Amino acid sequence: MTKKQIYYSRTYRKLRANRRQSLILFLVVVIPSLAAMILFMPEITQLFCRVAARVLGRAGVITVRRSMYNKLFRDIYYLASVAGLPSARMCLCNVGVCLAVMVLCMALPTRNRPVSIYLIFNAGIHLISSLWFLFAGWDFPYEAPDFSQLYLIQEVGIWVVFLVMTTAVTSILGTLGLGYKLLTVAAVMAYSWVFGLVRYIVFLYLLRRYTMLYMTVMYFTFGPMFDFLYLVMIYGWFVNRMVKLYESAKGKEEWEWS
Amino acid sequence: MVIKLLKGYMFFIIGLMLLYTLRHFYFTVQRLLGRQKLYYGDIITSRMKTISVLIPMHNEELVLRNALDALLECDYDRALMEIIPINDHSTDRTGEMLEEYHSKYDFIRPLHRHTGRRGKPSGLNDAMKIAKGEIIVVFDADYRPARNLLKQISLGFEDPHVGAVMGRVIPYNANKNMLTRLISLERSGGYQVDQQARYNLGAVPQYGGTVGGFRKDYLLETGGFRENILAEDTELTYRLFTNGWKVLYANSAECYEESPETWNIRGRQIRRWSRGHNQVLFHYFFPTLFSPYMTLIQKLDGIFLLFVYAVPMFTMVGWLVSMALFFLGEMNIMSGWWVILFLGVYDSFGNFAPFFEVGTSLVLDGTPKEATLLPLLMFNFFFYMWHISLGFFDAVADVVTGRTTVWDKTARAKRSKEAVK
Repeated sequence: MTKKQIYYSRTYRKLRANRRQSLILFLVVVIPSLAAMILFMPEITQLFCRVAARVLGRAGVITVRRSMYNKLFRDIYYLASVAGLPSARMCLCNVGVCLAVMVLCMALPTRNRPVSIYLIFNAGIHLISSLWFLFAGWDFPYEAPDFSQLYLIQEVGIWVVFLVMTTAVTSILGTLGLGYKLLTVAAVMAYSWVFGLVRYIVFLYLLRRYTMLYMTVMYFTFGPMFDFLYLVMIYGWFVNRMVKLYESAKGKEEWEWS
Repeated sequence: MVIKLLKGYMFFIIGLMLLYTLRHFYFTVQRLLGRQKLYYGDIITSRMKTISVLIPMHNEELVLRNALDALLECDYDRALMEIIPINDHSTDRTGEMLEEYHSKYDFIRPLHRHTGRRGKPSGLNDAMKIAKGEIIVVFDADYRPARNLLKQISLGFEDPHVGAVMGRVIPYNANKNMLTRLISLERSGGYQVDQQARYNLGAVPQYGGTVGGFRKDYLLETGGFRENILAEDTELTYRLFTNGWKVLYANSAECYEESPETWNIRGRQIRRWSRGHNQVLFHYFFPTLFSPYMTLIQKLDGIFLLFVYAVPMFTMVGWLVSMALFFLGEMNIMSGWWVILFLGVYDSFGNFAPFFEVGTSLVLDGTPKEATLLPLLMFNFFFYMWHISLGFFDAVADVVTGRTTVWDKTARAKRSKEAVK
């Protein structure tokens, strides 16, 4: 960024305030969407399970289970897949790979780069998991259906938090760009549903195909943090559009200096 | 009992993340839509204050010309200013180059330090003893002040209640590589939104140790900078606020810095900031809480600000606790709502702004291109968590052992003056 890109007049500029309009937009989007989620959550998760079961069913028997989530969302459906315990050899191989990744990342000159630190952290998580299964696999406290159930519960959390958060951070950006705001919320929600479903299928497949050894890393490494990645990606696109909008002839009228 | 404690910790960390997120969201709304508190730029005075510009330098031969040449172009009355570059135990050509400037310009008076303790606080303390100005303005050696910056900073001190003034930092090497681009995003959110919102709200805008100034007499009367504290700027901010002084933020007072260009240098810089900031946390938590001069909002914001470099350590512990709960068969804690924990991924790490704060700053600055880089901030999560946590433990060790701290200088990238112009 050079000086030419930031003009003196932008120092104290702000958008024409219409907090009521922002609040109305927030409520109009969030309340009906949330109500729909609360009303139809059992059906939504059931649909999730049907699609996932159809894809996964080709490789084995999959059953759908129902359990009470809480009083607000009532029941959720989840797939009761199966997953075995890893062999000692498989655990040892994974221990070896994790150690190799950690040592390599720490030994290379690039050890201070975010990607190296990220790999070290996550290899560490998988190392603990592999050692657990090597020495106390029989004592692992979960079965595949437990993971499947928790995954869907976590998805419900993501959908609610993302709906509220995306609507909040987009609705405050002035009075223009209503289409972009609605599109951003819709894109984040659509992506979270599609991505959530694809990831669910992949996770259950991997658990069944490659045992429960990978459950920990799925939970910690490829969990909600990845969801934030696409949320911010879509938000970045939204900001890009909004900057251009507020720099246009129409948008410049929205700025005030106080 | 252990499980209850672990679960309790998870509730604590999620609550903490939520509080920091709400704080940043409030700042964002306030900056974007609220009434802006202007800096004192409209003041007209017949007699500007005398100023001493102090520039700590340790082996700065690569960048010192840029800083000094930019200062020479400033429109401040030269009869009212002096420049004291502090040659702090340099082993390169810094001293020699400073003498060249001194031979050309009387008001550039280098201070050569070859004995005593090395480091920014020590250097500033020595320089203040020989400084003639009423106001001390500090720049790092890689900074390039805009032409009117000195005037702007000086004007704030016409208010007798003002103890320090802080300007806005903008990286000039933002396009160098991915790291500098990301730092530029963080700087943008941190200054254009965060600092300005805190100034608007009458909270705690932070004096940042460079691109700012303070009253020399007050510092000397209160014993100068504490040489063992690595974040002398944050320490000064809290010293001023807890004693009834004001700190101003001048968003229009722009200065251009060279951001670190390698991850190694950035990691060391972050670790030093974290160590220094947490030293201030240990010293000023109770004074901030019980200061009779600070308003409720200042105390609240002051406490939040004190903890910003402790939160990543709390998060790292939270990460370990959640793993322990996982293997104890308690992974259904909060029925999946622990996703809120990850709100903190983009929040509350040091002085770094969350994605919506950065996005808003880009709208305010009118820079669309950088918005597409926002998701890459995620990869800083582990990087910052690691280095900031190390800094936290350094600070704890400082307190426990009472050891002497050593200033770890940020290394500069080599580039010619022409190339960056």
